[in-house]
Amino acid sequence: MNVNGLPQGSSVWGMVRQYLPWVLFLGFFALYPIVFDSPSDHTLGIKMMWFAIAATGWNMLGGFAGQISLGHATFFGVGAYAVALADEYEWNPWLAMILGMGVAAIIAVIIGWPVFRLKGHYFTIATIGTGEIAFLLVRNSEFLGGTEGFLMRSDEGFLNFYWGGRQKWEFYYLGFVLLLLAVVSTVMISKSRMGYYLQAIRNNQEAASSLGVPIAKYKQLAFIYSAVFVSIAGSYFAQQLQFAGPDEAFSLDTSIRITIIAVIGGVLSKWGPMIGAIVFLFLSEWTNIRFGGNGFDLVIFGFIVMVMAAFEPNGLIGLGNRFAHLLEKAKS
Amino acid sequence: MSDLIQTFVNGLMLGSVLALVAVGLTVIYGVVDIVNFAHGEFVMAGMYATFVASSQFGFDPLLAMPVSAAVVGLIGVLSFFTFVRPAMRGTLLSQIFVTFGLMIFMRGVAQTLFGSNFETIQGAWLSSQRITIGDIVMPGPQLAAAVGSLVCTGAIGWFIYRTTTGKALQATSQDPDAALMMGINPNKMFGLAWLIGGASTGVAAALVANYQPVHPNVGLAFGLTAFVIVALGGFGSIGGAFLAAFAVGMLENFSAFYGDSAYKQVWIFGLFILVMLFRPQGLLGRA
Repeated sequence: MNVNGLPQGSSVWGMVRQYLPWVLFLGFFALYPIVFDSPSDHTLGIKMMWFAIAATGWNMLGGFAGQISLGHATFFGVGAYAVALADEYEWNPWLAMILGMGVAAIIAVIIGWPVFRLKGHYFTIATIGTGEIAFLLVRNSEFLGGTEGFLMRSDEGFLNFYWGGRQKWEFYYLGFVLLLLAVVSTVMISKSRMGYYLQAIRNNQEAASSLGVPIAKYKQLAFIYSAVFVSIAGSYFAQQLQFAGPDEAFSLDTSIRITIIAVIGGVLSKWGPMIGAIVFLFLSEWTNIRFGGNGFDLVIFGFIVMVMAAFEPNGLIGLGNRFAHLLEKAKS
Repeated sequence: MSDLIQTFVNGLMLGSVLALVAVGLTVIYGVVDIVNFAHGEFVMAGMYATFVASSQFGFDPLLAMPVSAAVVGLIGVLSFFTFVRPAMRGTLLSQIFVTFGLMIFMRGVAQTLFGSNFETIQGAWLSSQRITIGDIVMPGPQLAAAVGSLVCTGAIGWFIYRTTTGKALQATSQDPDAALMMGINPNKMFGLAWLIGGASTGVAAALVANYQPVHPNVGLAFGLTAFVIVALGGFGSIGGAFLAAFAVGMLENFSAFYGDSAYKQVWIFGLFILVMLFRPQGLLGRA
């Protein structure tokens, strides 16, 4: 039944549903540093940015292509160490970040060759394996700072990719631009031939292959894309903290964190990683204040991930969609 | 020469413990078709159960073994009936994430309850025992862990291959729907697999707690090694896991003997990826 009196009342609703997320998310991220106006809020905002960039990158492979990787810390580490080495040898951090993206892409090809011969659980376990190998190699390498990592001393300013103190909002907006880059490219890919191929691979690899989808090539492309964006997040992270160490950048915990963010938000939607980043940040800060950072955040996140997996695999976005569906039903 | 024999004996002892941990993982996978990413955390939970039984109630770790088995078995059954069973109807994503969530949850609970410190069990009877043959030393805790693990692994093998219930488990593993038509309740069998997988891991954990300190992240190394062993042996294959466990135990000890022990995990994962390249179904797995 049409209560609006419009010839196609549902199309207005459809337009709202299509553009509302853009307005909501971009509006929220754009206004955040203005509404929350203190350097410590800006630090949190920057954290939210690198969470969102990393999870968006991960999601191209993990969500859209359905290949669950628990080894993406490797690329995060590559990005972080690229700018840390640049600081050590006084190169430009921007060039280092771009170089890091290239190195991440090359490593993705090298790792992809063995791991994409595996499917499902085997693939996930193999990525844990490659992640741990990279972690141990870096941790034991003197050139890469061993267990200590690198402390950085960047000068402030755009060319140096670093802002401290009251200028942190500039850092935040830089992250916002990088995140936009990630989201827009994700949208473009998901609407292209590659997006549909990846969806076919996720739903049924054998069927996709028998219909002529070059699955090896497209999985590899998704892997390269996700590696590059996770490495950007790594560079951004290290520049902000002025530090890159193996436990923070290369460890399984980092891979797990990136994955949780995407899963909580919802891996089938481009907005999932972003809502995941907001919720993850809020919950981990809240538990830190309330319970003093003794692992209680892990209890909550683990519980949410279990519940999501069992009852709503598309995370908070899936819950939102259910709710919107109910609204729509109530309207008609 | 005696160094080599000692390294070999150490490899055997480590291999038997790893075998028991890995058999627990492979039973769950074989029957339920779910990889338990929280398996390392099952070991951690068993070690904490043993630690609490020994430090609070004065149990020797050997006597705490049934406690640990019961606790971890219960965790397995509970997680199956609460979250894993609904996730089984979902996609591969759900099936991976459900035990992945369990892993994070259990680590968080351990950190909240016990803090991040390393805890060591004091005054275990075994720690003062040792057997020496020539130059070869076998410390009591490690030897007991090896023997206990072998006995327990044998018992699981006997149960699955020689008893009626075990045959029902095998039938469920091959085809749950056909098993249902034969009057086997697949859900019961799934729960039983989680019970066996959990309890056997609990036994291994109590044995390991005799000589290794426990902390919330102790499961990581066990879990990773168990995945590698199970994947090497072929998912769901008990015999394969048993063989692969000894291969990994040897590799770990010999790589530490000839090289830098910091890299021993690199060798294990390197072996894993190599085998996956040339024999993706594992050593004894069905293609």
